[in-house]
Amino acid sequence: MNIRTAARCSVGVFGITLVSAATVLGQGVGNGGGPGGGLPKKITCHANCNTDGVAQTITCGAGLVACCCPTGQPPVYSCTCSNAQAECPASNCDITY
Amino acid sequence: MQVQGRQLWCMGVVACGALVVLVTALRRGDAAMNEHDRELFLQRRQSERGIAALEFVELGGLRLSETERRATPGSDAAPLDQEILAAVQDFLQHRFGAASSPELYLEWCRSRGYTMRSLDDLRDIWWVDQAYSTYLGGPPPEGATAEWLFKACMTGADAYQDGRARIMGVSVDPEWMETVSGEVTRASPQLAAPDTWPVKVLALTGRVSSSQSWLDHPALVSHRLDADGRAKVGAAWLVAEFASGDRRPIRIGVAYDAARAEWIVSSITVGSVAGEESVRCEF
Repeated sequence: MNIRTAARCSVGVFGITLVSAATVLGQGVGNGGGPGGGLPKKITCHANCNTDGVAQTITCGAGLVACCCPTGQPPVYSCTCSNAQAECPASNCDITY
Repeated sequence: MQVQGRQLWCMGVVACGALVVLVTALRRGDAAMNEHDRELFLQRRQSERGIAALEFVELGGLRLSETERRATPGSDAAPLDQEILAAVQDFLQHRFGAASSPELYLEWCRSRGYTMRSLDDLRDIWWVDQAYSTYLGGPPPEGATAEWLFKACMTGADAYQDGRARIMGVSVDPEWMETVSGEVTRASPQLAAPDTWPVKVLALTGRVSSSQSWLDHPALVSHRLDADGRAKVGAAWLVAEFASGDRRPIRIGVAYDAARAEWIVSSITVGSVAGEESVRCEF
């Protein structure tokens, strides 16, 4: 009896672990974080970006983060609007979970 | 043995169930991603086809401020701001028009209250030495002034790579134009934009190039926020044709000069930038 109980517990824990992993993976691949659930993500512009209010030169929607960073030849501010559901270009910002 | 067999059977059933849940979740995620990508692809194709079909008016004959778009029931589209369009047209004609020259452009700017920024500021925030080297193939001469550098860069930029940064014409189709204006503060520095097609088209291009002006003006946001804590700003979204033949959505940022009761141009943002290429405007 004790053995059966122990077996059920270990199976149960194993099953829950798998289901949890599936849920997290599914949301990570599909929707990302942000509204609607999923992993919380934070967009951080690189340190050299958005000098002197240059981020105001693009208009991002609500909840979007504007990152304008020096790049290119001739040099220019490369601007992106990012949120938890969009990719963040490596040259402009980082996504942290 | 009986217990071990039952245990294995239970583990097998649960593992299979978990596997099904895992696969289903991944497929749902994949489907959601594909749905997002598919929608983006369709919108980009619609944008490219639409832009390719547009007719463009050369800057000399441009009458942006005569373009009207009436608000229609059930649509987000509001009437276009004629004052902002007039200011944008004036700027485009003086900076990029066929008769423009660095001297004439600077003269026009000064008459509107602009002043040249210091060379130190320009080197710091607008990398003017690198831009000069790109256009003219070497470092600027010793002792070059900001104004001298601007004139060289304006001429160099207009000829650079077949004029890929020189605006030659603009579409006056009101369905591809948008304007907005409002007040911003330090706490809320972003100007809210309507969720309309012309605004979306620029965002569809992904990464965009934003250019700063060589010239300073007391109506610019940073000065107004320092002085009053608030600033009246606006923007116009258009589709432009460049000397290279490229057609790109653009956003021109404007700031309101209350002393002169007119809009002045503060920034130019250009879409459809492929890879690391940049479209830098000297103005």
